[in-house]
Amino acid sequence: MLILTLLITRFLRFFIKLFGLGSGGTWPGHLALKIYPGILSDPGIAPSLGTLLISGTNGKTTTTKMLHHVLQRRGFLVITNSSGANLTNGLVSALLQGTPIFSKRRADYAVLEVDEFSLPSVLNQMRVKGVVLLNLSRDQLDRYGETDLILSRWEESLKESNVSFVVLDKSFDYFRNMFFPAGAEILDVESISEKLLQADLTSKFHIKNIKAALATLSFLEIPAEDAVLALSDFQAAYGRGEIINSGGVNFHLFLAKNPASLTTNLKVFEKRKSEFDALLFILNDNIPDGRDVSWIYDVDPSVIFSACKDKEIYVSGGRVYDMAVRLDYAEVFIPEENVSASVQSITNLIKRKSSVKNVAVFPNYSAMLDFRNMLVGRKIL
Amino acid sequence: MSKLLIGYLYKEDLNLYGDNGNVEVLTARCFGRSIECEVLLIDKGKLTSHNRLSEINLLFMGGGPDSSQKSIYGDFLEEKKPFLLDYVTSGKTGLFVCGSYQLMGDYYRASDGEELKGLGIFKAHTIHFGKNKPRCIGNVRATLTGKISSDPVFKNVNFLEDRIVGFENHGGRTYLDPGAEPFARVTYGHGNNSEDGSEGIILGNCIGTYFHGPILAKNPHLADYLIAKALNVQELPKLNDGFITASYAASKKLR
Repeated sequence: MLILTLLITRFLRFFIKLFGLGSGGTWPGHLALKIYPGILSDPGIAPSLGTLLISGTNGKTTTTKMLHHVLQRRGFLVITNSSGANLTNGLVSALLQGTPIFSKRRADYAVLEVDEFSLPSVLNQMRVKGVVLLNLSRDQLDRYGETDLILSRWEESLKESNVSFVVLDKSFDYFRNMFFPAGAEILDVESISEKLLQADLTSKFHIKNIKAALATLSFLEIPAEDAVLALSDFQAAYGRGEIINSGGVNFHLFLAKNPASLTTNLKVFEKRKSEFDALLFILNDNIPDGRDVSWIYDVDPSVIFSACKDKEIYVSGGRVYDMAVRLDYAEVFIPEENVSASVQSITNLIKRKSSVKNVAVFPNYSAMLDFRNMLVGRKIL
Repeated sequence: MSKLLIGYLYKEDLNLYGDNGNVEVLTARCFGRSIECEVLLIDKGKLTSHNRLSEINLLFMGGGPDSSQKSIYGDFLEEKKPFLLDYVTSGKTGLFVCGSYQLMGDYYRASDGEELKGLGIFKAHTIHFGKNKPRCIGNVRATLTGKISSDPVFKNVNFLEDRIVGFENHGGRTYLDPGAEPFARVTYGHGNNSEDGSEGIILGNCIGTYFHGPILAKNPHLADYLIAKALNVQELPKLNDGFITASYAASKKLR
């Protein structure tokens, strides 16, 4: 059954690539699950040394990419879902792509970011070595419901799993009181010493993500010192600290998809504020973003004010005026001509300004994809 | 002009949908007019620790996830009821959004049939039908009822329309008792129960509503109305509301 599914999905992937229909991140998995619903439980797709799952509201993509980067540097063959396709179909796509049909070499590890709501069902089906739980906060509530519900589902599925370790951030109350399976080792990300971390890493990436990666790698017998060294040439994931040059302007993308990620990224920005001339906020309300944009008021106005102070401010996206009003209430001054629903015209306006060379862009999810598509011709990778 | 003292109930526990933005908006709109404004946080515990309760002229309370609502429930019923009953009946100004709107009613019947007693101040009750009825989620618009729209104070401060815009997200459906007055009439979306076209409730100068957005950020005319009523003034100086007017206009087209 597995071989048949592999052959069919390889074929599908070939066509997706041939006709430029996408990255092949979800369709093969979607089809595979139709042909062979139990595919995740099949030992044939399991990597030889184990599978790691990374979940949480914010930081999944970056933490996953860090783990992948270090493991590859150490010579391991690693499967990952770098496109961010983190629902079950995305995971299956990645695992299928990394499973050899004719050759003998099987992948050593699978490092997969998993959507918060998909984590329980994936844990129930797959044999998993370790789980990384980053954080849990309000995100797309109109789609997902409350965080309490996610937490209780995580707890239930972990109890029944036989994971050998869990990495989590105990500075969050909701994780501190969680119940874990007796056999699993638990490691708090805060147990990783900050002394090890170099400034060029911590100024670009959220420190919690770095610590989570290091804590996870310690279970794979990779010392933190070695991991830090391997991360010295780590490149940001798409849209998460990535820099795109266009028309002589550097656009630094800081994905800001919910209150926690906007707050964190504004604070990361604050540390490097002198490198930037302007800030561009892009707010959409498409399905992947959640239709409700009221979350922008969950960000402390003093954090917004302090980041925007003395910088040129631009605002765009489908909900441009909601964002402009939010900034306005935070006492941020925005010239009227810097506000437009059209990202294209705002970007052109920025490029015409000789004084603006480095722009920090804070887009929510679909806004980030659209912005990349406009500047580099691709939404994802 | 006198001072606006906002009483903000359970800020830490009830702030699910950006509703603390309502208090930020009230503060900013006072600041823009050089009206003195202060926020008094009222958390769990005995009210005797507050000696300025009688000076509060605008009360705000939001909603939260189930766990937070449970955590304040006992305190709300036991410690806050006499104060709230007195506050509402004396005609003072208040805004209760979502979860707190439900708790101000007679009762909330959960999907498993369990009944949670409310304060019984708003003449309304809420029923959660579980999986039998879909959650009321989406952009929403409604026309204010006569109580506000025909109030000369509203006419003085209203620089938009009689309509309010927002976003709703509630599983419970609220039904007003006969004679209770809705806050608004739904023109798009669900409102109280997606059956009778009513949205929220108004009792004296206190409003219960399902509108998020936050409601006062989306509807500056309503914010100004609450400020004017709280301060007992007939009108307010104009502010520069260019972006807000544009956002209001854009919200009228949201699907």
